[in-house]
Amino acid sequence: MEKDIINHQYDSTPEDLKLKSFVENSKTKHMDITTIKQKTFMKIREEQRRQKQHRLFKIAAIAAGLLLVVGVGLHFMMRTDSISAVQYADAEDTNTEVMQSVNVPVGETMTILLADGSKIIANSRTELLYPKSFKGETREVVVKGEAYFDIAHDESHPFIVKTNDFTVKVLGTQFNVSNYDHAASNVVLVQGAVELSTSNKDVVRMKPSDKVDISNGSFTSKSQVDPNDYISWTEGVIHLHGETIQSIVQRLNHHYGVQIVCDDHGDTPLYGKLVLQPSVYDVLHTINDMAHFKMVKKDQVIHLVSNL
Amino acid sequence: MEDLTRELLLIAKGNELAFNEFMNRYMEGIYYHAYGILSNKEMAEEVVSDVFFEAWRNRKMLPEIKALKAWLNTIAYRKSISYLRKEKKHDKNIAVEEIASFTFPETETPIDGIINKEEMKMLNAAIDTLPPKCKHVFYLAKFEQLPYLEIAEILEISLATVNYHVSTAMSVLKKKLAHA
Repeated sequence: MEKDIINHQYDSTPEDLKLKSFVENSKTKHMDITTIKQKTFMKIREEQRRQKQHRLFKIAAIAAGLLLVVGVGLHFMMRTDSISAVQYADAEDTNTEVMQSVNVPVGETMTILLADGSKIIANSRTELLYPKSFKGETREVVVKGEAYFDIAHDESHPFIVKTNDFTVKVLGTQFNVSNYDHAASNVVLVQGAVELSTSNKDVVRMKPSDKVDISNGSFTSKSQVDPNDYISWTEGVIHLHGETIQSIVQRLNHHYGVQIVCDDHGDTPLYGKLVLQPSVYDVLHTINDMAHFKMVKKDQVIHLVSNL
Repeated sequence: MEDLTRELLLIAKGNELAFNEFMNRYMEGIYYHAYGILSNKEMAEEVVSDVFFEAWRNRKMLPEIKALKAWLNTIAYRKSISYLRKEKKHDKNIAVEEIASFTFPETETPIDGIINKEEMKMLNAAIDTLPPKCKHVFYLAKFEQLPYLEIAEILEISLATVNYHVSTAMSVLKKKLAHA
């Protein structure tokens, strides 16, 4: 019996030669697959919308619970945490922008295409607020977490990325914003030019390959880096050039929303490539192969301790 | 192969650009499979978008699936059958135990020049006369190039039956070519 048609034994007769040509080389007519792709993406969007509603419903349920227990405290919470409160513009008024919000699930990334042709890739646990279509003088989005921006050039409508501590103003360019931790945020410019202003009124102009660090709303330093190291997460990897375990653990904490504490060997440098696998434990096992430590889980905190 | 693994890992993390590439890769084969069963463009498009939506919902397990093309074809087969059942609901007398017909896709004359247009026409006509199951198996063997074992699993028939259908199709076509 045959295993597959590719290994079929043909004779050397003319009809068998023709049969072989037919079986191996005749193709189906080319077809237009864009309709099916659009249909598929519509189904994906529909599901994302439903999940978001479900999540908002859960948040509302929790908020309602808090309201009963804490009462006045909620009012204070909403005021201090402006990003987590999703604001919807009135859809009836055609002059206001209808805002959409995205919460990226743990361990995933999400690509968002904006109405102006710009592309945003949002990292794990990132919250992003953007309008369905741009209507004002400027194009504005809000981000908390980490996102890579590839912005379509439009000089008459500057693109503005807002965070709690700083804003980045651009005309058209590629850059990465990371603000999971407002004590240690940074912006890395891949291409073009941007102007960054912090909430404490520092203004910094950036050139390609510049990295600007911001801490608690103040500019702290500017340095030249390899931008690829800061955007490789969009492809699911982290390149290691001697970063300490301590600093990698920090990134993993943000990425996976876990709490890992490095009790020993925190300053061991790591080299190579780290694949951001779906589970943080798989990533830790990879690091373990390089650095030899023991994982101890205590009250939701993962401790990395010396194996010796 | 390395590229495909990387692509699947990206999809598992929710990367839609990688998923777009994934669809480019498998779309045509899955479409002609569904079209074969349903013989209707709109219905086939609906089913195929359902197949890929299903793949997206299962994106986290994609990197672990060993025979991806067979996996997609299995979903396409089952969804097409249940679509047919739904369509025929109003007519309860028809039991869709067996697929009543299979539309084999029209094939283009290969560019190697070994067979001419006339012979190609004749081959397409000859395939039309084959029993539905035989065409179905032959489609999966020839166009999707699936191993016979995987075809047997998709259609829930024995490996010997798959072999029988393929060799029937091959000998019918060979006879036609010999007498041309």
